[in-house]
Amino acid sequence: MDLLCQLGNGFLVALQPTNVFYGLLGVLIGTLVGVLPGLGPVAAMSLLFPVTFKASPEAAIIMLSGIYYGAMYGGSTTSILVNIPGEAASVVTCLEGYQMARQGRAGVALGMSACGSFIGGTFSLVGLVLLAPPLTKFALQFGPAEYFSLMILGLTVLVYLAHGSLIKALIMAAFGLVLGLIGMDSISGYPRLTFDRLELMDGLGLVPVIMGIFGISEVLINIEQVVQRDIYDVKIKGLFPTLRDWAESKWALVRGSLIGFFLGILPGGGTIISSFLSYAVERRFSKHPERFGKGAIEGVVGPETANNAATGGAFIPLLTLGIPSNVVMAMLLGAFMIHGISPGPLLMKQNPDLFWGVIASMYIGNFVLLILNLPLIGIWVQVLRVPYKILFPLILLFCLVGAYSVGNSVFDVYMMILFGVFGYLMKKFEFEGAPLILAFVLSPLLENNLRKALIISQGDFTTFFTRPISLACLTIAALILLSALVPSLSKKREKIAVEEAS
Amino acid sequence: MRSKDIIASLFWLLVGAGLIFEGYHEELGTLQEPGSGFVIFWMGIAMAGLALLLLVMTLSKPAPAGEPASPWFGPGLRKVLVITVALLLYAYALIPLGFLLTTFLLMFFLFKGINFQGWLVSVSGAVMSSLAFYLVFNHWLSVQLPEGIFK
Repeated sequence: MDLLCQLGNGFLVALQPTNVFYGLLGVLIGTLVGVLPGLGPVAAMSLLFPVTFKASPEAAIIMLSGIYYGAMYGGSTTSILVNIPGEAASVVTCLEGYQMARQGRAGVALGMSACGSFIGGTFSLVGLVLLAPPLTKFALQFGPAEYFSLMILGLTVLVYLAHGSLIKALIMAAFGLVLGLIGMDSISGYPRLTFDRLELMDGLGLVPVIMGIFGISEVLINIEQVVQRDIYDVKIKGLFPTLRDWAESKWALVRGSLIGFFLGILPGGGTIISSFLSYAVERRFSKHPERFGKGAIEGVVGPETANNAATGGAFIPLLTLGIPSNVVMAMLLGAFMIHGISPGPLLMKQNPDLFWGVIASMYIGNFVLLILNLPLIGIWVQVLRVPYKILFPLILLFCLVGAYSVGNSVFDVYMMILFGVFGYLMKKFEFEGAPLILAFVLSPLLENNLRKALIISQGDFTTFFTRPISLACLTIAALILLSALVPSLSKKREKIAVEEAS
Repeated sequence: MRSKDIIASLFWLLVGAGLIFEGYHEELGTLQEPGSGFVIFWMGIAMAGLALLLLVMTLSKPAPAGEPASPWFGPGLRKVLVITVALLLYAYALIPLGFLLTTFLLMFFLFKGINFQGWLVSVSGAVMSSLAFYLVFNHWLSVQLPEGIFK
């Protein structure tokens, strides 16, 4: 009953006109960036970070969350119609979705994937509401050693799942940790790695770093390679699924929701892995696996349900433990911090309006996405026809103005350009940005908890191995890293990475 | 791939060495009371170690026959360099010239110089985008954009 009351209060917060406006803006922009290839939710969130500075914390988080799950909805459109995934979590949707479009069933694929996204999103939110309160109580038992070990586990999983070389991903994580330490040491008060620049005393800004690595570098890469978009030009009909479509997809909806939600909770998991796993499971469970690759509807519905269910699951570690499980959540953590709020076990008690308001806004957002997206699919298809040469100057301008507006400082603009070039070179040298960003955001927390744990234990390093939760996290992290040395597991990891990259 | 990894590992080895030096000179502290340089120092060691491992692994693999000499950059590299310089010039001129003029010049350059649009499209695109961003950020979001010569 108490839970329903709190959720009811959350709806009151989410339905305030300003919050509704920011929520709508978020889901629409999210769908738009999901539709547009070459601009993912991370880039869009970084571009729109400055827009949220003037908003209340509730409105800011509601809008940024809206971009995240809106992008999951939008990503399927390009996968089905153009055979180009709008964002990484929709890669697998191309396999069956585009085949369905070629058979004149684009409408069914789009309609069912929108319904699947809605069901997956709603399922994960119910799970979030039910799981968050007990997890919050459990998280209160965490001390510095547990937090440190949990963050190490999160980073390890993300590094393990990064594309390509594990060593390169580890280097990126180490570099991200160092970048996050630039500025004043929070314990001793000494400046570190500031190169005598006053602007660096408060550390590197999250916005210039993310905008550079995910915004500017993406534009530079896209400009270098001319991408051909071959839109499947067919009149889209039959968007509303028939009973037969529902019957064919019912188990894919159930399995996708479960896989997405539970993988979303795991550190480093999230939308991409859950969509791949869901596709593999659907293929394995299908009575007619030979239909896969030729337009099987379960191959569209399962992954689309799973990637949306994963968005809700991913909020659990952030809202209850204060630890982001992926890059998007790391950005949301940054948004919380910019507004002076620390997410974690005390968030539900200290900021109930924010906690429940964000959850309620996701219910509303999922519903809005469903009723808006089906009629708007025609418009999204037209958006796909906007040439990149018109889009990229506007993306660059957004980055420039966004970086400047954080602190009215040209230094931030220079930093963003520097990280843009760095991000471009990273991609050329096949290093991935996600471990760097997650490590960058976690770095101050990680260092703080490490040093606090050592001070409390009077320099006894075994404190990390004698506390059960900490030991469990470190053991899992070690096993994950060691598994890379097992040839069969290492090959499987590389296969996933190659599939994701392609 | 091989040459890329050799260059990358040497670069990160250098960065790691720099961090070891920097961490050592900040205060390392003790295990009982770790200092400001503690994590930096150990991250430097980790990075240098990983870079060395990458270098050794790359060198121990035989170079694949027929690897192209420089497969790194696409034909649009010149565009990438020009745009980077344009962005740096934008940042340099933003305060003295002001947001409106600098943004107009950048957008005009991107539309006309990079995209080869016609004069009308380039000028109108540059004017509209500069004004739209000025209105949204300066008026709606109350960001104080530099006024420059329009002060």
